[in-house]
Amino acid sequence: MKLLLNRAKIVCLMILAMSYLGCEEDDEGGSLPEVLAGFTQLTTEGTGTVSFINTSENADKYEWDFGDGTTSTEIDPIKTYVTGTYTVSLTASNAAGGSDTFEDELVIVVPEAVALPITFDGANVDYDASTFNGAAFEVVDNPAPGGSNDTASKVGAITNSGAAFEGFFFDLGTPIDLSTDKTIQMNFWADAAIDVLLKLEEGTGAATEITASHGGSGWEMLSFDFTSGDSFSRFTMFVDGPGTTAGTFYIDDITQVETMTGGGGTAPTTSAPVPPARDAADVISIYGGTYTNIDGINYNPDWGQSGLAFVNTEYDPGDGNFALAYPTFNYQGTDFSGNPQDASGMEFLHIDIWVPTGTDRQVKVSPINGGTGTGVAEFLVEVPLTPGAWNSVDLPIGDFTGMTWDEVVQLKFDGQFNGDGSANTDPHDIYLDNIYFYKEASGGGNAPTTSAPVPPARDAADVISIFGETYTNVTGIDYDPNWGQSGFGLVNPAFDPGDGNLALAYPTFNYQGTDFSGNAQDASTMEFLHVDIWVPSGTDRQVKISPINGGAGTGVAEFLVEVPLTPGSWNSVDLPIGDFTGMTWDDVVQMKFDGQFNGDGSANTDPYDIYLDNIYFYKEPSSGGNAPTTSAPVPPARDAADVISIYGGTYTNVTGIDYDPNWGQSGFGLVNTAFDPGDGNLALAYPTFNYQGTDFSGNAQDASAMEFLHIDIWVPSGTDRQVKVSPINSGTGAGEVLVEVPLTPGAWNSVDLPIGDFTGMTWDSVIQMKFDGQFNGDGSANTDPHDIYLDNIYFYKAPSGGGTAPTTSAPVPPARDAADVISIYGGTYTNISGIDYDPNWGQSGFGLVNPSFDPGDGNLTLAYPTFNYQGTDFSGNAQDASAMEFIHVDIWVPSGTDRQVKISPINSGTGAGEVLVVVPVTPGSWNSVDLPIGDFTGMTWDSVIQMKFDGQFNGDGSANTDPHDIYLDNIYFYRTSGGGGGGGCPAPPTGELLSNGGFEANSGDGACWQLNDGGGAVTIIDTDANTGTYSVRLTSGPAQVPNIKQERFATSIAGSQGVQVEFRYKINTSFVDGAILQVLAFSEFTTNPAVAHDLGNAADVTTTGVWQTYTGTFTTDASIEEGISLLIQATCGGAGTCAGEVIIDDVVVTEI
Amino acid sequence: MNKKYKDIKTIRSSFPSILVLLLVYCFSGCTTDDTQTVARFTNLVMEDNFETEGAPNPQIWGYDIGTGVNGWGNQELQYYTSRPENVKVDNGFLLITARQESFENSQYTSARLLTKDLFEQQYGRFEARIRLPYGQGIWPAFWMLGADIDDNPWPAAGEIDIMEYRGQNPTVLIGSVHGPGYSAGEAISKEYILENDRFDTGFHVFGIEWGPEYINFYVDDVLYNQITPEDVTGTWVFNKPFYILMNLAVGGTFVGSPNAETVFPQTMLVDYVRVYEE
Repeated sequence: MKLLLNRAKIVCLMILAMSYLGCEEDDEGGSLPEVLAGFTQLTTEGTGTVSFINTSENADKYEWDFGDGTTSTEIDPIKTYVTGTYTVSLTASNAAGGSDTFEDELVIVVPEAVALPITFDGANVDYDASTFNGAAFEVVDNPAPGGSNDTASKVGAITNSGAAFEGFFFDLGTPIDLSTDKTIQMNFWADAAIDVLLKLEEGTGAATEITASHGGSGWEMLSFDFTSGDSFSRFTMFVDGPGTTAGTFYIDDITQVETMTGGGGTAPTTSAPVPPARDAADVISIYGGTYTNIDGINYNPDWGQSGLAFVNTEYDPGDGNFALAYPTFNYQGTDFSGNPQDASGMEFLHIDIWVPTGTDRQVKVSPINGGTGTGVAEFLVEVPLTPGAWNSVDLPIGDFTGMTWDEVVQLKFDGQFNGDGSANTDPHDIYLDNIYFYKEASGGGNAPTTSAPVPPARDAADVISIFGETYTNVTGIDYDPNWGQSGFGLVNPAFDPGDGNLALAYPTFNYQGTDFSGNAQDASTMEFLHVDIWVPSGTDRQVKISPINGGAGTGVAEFLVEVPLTPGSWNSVDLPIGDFTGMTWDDVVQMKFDGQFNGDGSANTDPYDIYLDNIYFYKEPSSGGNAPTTSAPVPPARDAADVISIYGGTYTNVTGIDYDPNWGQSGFGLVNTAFDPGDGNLALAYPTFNYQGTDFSGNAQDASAMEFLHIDIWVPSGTDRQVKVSPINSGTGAGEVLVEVPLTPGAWNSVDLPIGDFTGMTWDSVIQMKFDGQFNGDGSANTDPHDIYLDNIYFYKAPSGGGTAPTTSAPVPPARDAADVISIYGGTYTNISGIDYDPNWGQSGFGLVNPSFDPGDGNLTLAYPTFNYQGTDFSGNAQDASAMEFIHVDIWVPSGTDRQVKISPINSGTGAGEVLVVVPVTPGSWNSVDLPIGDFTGMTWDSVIQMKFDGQFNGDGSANTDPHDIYLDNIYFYRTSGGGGGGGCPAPPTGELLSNGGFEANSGDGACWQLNDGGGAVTIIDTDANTGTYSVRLTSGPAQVPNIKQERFATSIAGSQGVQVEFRYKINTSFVDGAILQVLAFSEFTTNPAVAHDLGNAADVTTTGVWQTYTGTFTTDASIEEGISLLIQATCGGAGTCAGEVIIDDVVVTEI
Repeated sequence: MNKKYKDIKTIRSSFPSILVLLLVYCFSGCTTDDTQTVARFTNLVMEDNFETEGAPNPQIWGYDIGTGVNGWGNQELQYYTSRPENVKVDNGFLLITARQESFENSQYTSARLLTKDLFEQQYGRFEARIRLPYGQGIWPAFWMLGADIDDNPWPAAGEIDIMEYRGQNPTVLIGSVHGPGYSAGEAISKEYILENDRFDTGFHVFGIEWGPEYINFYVDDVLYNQITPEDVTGTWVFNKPFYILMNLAVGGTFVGSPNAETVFPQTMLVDYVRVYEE
């Protein structure tokens, strides 16, 4: 034992040495705790919901990127994903500026609900069927590929037990909608003939059922033709419904298809669509009755294909329009090698194709080139098709990658694929028609047959429109001035493409323009020139455009810019103004179009045709415009008596306000009293507003003493409306006078309407605020609704005259030992000698200082009127404040002052001599402030010679050198106590063990309590005490442990002594989501660790507003040496919503 | 039970008190990592840092499954499973999660891991870095049982509770030993209270250093108890191999049942488990 002891001592000494080094680094501020980001997560199987668990350390701010474009700043967010792989990152940071990022990849698999088509092959589909009356269901491999289902894939296995009406159902993720396609098809396997009943339930209409008969030959396709037009979300099957056949059956490939008529879907019963008329030069036709087919075609050359014997070049679907039938088709072709075709000039290969209903196959096509081109001769391209119907397909030539086209000799069709592209050489049937190459008509497409796209709605102020029906065109436009252009006189400004949306036709165009020189436009603020342009197919020309400026600007007046265009369709072009290099825009008088160019830019003066629409300049809407994205300015601090607040977050609003009473207004029910512009400072949104109001008739307000009505108002950019406001008074006299609220759209307008503007109003009983927006900007009537946003609606008056100087004196500081104080000003302690309270540093209030201002009770204060900065000088008596812990100052500024005051001692020694710290101030009352010495970061304290006050700041910290008035008192440095171990705490009341249990002494030695904010807040308050004046308030939030503690009192208490702790507490805010109020005591020892005693948590921490009594007991440790400590704490866990606030008073500790 | 302080005081008082004060200062001011200063054993013989995602390493960890007898002797309410919903390794942590769900006639599920027949050792420093769950009725534990328990039933086998805690008191940690004559309500225990912090808001190291004739209990860098044969009211049985258990129980006589305020799921996050020899 002795040896072991010695060794332990050495280890401890070594640790001690290492620890010193670490501490020194800390003192230099060089090693703040490192932020470590991290998280893990819980997933709930199969739901996609992920509960993240934040494991970051030393951080207080979190930014999550969930990898799907969404983010969060919560501590432990919960996120629901859809199936996928996501990279989640968490960036953790702290106020000191450290940050760290952690990333993790999440693979989320959320099973999809089963829905048609059901193949039983979906890797992520939930095929769990619900069974009933004895049937069983499972997904298995196809036990017997063949028949109608020769694919070796997964199928559903139904096992009947032999009971009547046994079966299974699926609840579908997507309902079966029978409104058009009324047939459900499936492959069904049975080895004996049996009836299968399909019932659709849980529908928008009555359940419906159909029975189909199976022949018992293995896999057969069954069709269930319904007549209902409803939608159903439950798919129920009974195999041998009423019967009692036992055994296993299989199903697969359940699909919904168009209901077949007559003979069903094995061959077409209608013919393919007839192709349009085309010039012979534009077509190379291989099969079909519309164009002339080329000579020398063999539709059934023998290449060994499976359907060799079955080809029918004159299959009649019933109407005499023949098709080309390839039954029992694996691959097939047509051969015209005796008449090779040059298809180089062609643009498309057209095919009409039909395959039987239920076919799940791909068909590919390739021309085969026999020439000697450098490209490939064959390139298979898939023909998109829907079974059971004719598919008209136009395959662009370009899809046949790498093909040469100079000598096409065959067309090859290949059908040896499943629908998913995998190989399948089983034959099936296809029908073809209208096989031809073509190109778009050269001269065709001479004029548009559709209209240009309609431009988006824009504010009038954002557009200068020259042509078009969407915006109002500028007046005085000549669309066909005679400049000698080729098409003069042919212009049609009302060309109708067929739908009534008119275009501007410039036939026989070389150049052209529009003239509005009688109404020149300033387009300087515009951002784009928009034009819709159409030229006939095959046109290979460039069109350029330029506005022409008639003004005297320094730039060019005309700059042609090419309009990019594709022939044969409308081209919507937005040309940035900046593209018109060097242009001036103050006086635009014409729009010029110039078409005298070939497609390659070379000159060509031959006329052609162009069509234009929607010619206009525009700019993007100012400031995004439909709703505010910033909040209204925060009103200044005011005394409660100076304000009647109706809406807003700065003052206390009057109670009993209905922001959306139903007066029949257009926006009733749409009001949002908590519209968040994005920064959390809420506004009152009145969308679809004609008039609106707020009603507080249950709490009528006397506004007679008020001087102004303040409103912040925001309307969308481009709004050209007036809004008027009137309070409504229920007393006698005029009850309502509407006054216009001046406003600029797209920005917050802070308006202060003098009460006098509401001519004749009485103000003794204001019960409503009315807003009326049924006016145009010019004041004329307009009842169309629009949107407005309001904030900070309140009446106010300027601070009462009494608020310019204090009328009471500052609180008297507690008694302190002289050694614990260095007093600069005040009547409680002895001030140091040699102080000049008004040295001349050039400050604005020099000479006005009054060190003996009497607030009325003889307790003098130090008045600094007309103060910008000020100070006191005691350089003749420099003070060493190194041992002090706090600077105390009492400060008073007039009501309504919105300024910051900062303070710094000034040290003449080495090191930082001056560090300004903000003194928190509430105007109109004395503020007792204790600034910890540590707040003056970096200061040295050995030779303090001045106290500097600086007031050249606005309330938000920005600079403001205007003078204002301040009053000071009790300026002193102090420390709480010279020694450790509770020496300064006064004796407790007789019969009790604890001092200051009522918190009535709240500074200096008498306070006794340690107030540890533990991340939350601990405050001595004088607004809600159980007895006396003061109490303590603990406010807790996530991961916070605010607490109060008294250490080592009752130092002579015996061992094994019963002790009772009792106090009064009142819950301000319910303790929720993990918050608890704990009471703990400790038996203290000289060197040994304390022994903890858990007295139990306060039982009721959810009933608010009621003083309750806590009582707990413990027994001191038998060997107790140095008394007891008491700890009361409001603790929260990591839950982001954990919170609670409690007031504690009258703590009494007694022996029992 | 309180006799032990006399012994310890003799040891401590041999230190110059100024050094002790400085030592305490340095511990609290500078020690932020897991460098242990209250334990002496540094020869690492087993560690699991939970770096391989999925199920915990089967070479180290087995499971108790089900509800045991009478809720594992404590009327606990949970059904223990080894499903990933209740136990998994992710991003460097072992997650033991208690869920409220109907499962095999229980209303809660959770997990209990143990190293029985996989890792058993006599003496050493056993520690784990854990972030605890919270809430009424939540009962996590990091503890040990005598490896001969099959032949020598509890309490004779011995039990060392390195850490157990009641979710409703998230600042109070309990370290105990149980043995013949001092088990269950008569166990030799001491509470440790965390000030200005809670066990469910961050990671803490829970450990014992166990040698012949003593078990030292520590949390982070605070040694808060020592138990010696003189402290126990029966035979000292801590002189044979023990194995490790980690579990998250719900309800039971020790902690009481969850109530409406108890949030589920609750997860006990284990950063590492390490065992050292002297």
